[in-house]
Amino acid sequence: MRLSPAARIVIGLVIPFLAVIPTVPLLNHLPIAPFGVSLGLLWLFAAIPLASLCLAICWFGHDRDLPDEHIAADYDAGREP
Amino acid sequence: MTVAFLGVILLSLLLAWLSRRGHRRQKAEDFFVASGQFNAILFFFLAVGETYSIGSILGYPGGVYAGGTGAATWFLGYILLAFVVGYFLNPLIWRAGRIYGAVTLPDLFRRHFDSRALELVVAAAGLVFLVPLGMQQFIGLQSIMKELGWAISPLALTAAAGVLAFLYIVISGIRASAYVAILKDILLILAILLTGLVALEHWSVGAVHAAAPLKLAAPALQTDVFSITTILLQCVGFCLVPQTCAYVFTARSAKAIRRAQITMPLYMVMFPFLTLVAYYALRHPMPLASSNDVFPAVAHALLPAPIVGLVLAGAALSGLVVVTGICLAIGPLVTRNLVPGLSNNQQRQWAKLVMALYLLLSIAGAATSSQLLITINNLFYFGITQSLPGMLGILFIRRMRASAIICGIIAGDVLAITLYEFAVPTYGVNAGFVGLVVNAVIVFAGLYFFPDRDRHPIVSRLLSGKNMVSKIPA
Repeated sequence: MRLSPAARIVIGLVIPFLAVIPTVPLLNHLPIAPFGVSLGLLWLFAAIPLASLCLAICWFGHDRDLPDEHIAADYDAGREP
Repeated sequence: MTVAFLGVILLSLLLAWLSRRGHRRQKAEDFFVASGQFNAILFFFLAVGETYSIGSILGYPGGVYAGGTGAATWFLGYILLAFVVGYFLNPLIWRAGRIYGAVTLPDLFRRHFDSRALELVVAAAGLVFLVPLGMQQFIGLQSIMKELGWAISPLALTAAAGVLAFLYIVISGIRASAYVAILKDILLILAILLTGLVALEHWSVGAVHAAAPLKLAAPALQTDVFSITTILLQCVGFCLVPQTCAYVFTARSAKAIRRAQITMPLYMVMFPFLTLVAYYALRHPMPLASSNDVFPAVAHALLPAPIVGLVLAGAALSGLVVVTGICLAIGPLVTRNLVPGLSNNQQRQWAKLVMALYLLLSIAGAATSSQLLITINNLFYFGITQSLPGMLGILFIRRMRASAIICGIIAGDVLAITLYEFAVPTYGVNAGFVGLVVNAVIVFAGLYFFPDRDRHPIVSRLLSGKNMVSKIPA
């Protein structure tokens, strides 16, 4: 299955951001702290493999099939003494 | 312990020496960015080393120990999202680097906007904000080397660390840094896992507090606003750090970067173990000179001496690898961007002198400063992230004006530092974020009212099909 560019952005960027930005502060408001650890922090630990999974979906569903680039760089261009 | 520690240091020097193979006569671009030849594995170790700098190993558990999990939330949040942003942004920065033959971030700005003034401003801002980062590493190295119990003054120990960092650099530049980073990361993973697991095993033994007396994040709106704005600022800023850009330029291809970025978040599984170490220290009060000593102190309390030597060596290497990365970013900022007209060979030679001076300055700064490491981390991102609007201009936006970017960077930097230094109330919004918003308003107002001539952004140079380019399109 090939991902569309929009789906790639949603899966690779939007989902990880939503998993962190509003979710973690909201969870920190809950008066639940298993073993003294805030729920937000525990969720953040769970978001670590989630982020990798999202990026892996982008890679296998879209970016892996893109042609690789071979760009010859001229590091001295415009820097002649 | 000493034998194990010194054995690892000698092994690191051997690896640095091995990295010279086939690259004995280095040109400047090979010395600074490996001529863009690194595969995904070497790029991974080099780039991820930034995450596990000494600031993370000491500052993170120290922050949890001293301030509870509030700081941990934004600290982990920004690193996690930085890898996500990097998956999308870094391949574009790499492409820009290749098209413009860039070794440094200011190289990109000079070539894209054809502006020497913009190159100078970006280079100067990079230099100013990189200075405290070197100090941060040496403050951490002091904490680590203190645990060795050698009867040597802290200043002499940090000076020795500085000499070691300089040796890595002169042996083969960024290649040595990458090879040592592999050893450092393997050791560090083992060190953190081992210390965390042993802390878990001894969780109840001799615990003074039945539950860790943690300070949980206060559920206040301002705390949330600070967390969110700090994460937003720093997750993007992470990709604009001068040494991160240099690491991106070392990669062989955009695909190599993407492959490495996918696995980078998984490397963060070390942080739960670092949290465990901080919690252990809270349950088992121990004498600490500062909260930054939590990790080495717990390792010392729980592990046998030879293992402690390996743990300390891994932690010390993490500081040294980051210091070499900073040096290799600062050197070309001076010899390529600030000083005009140096030949390729002169850039490399003079950069070594600049790096030596920078190391001396950082060692001297570390000897006199005692700020919490995370505070330094904050100030660093205030400045570094201000090049974001200009970077968006390089990658995505046509007609952005160099003079507007210069005004935006200066306004953003001055405002952020002023707000921070004078403790001006921002209702929780990160001072650097305020600076970035003002910076963006200036740059985009310039774009709207005084658009420049049309310049092809990098995304418009996707170069349909083969993507084979040797020169900049007109």
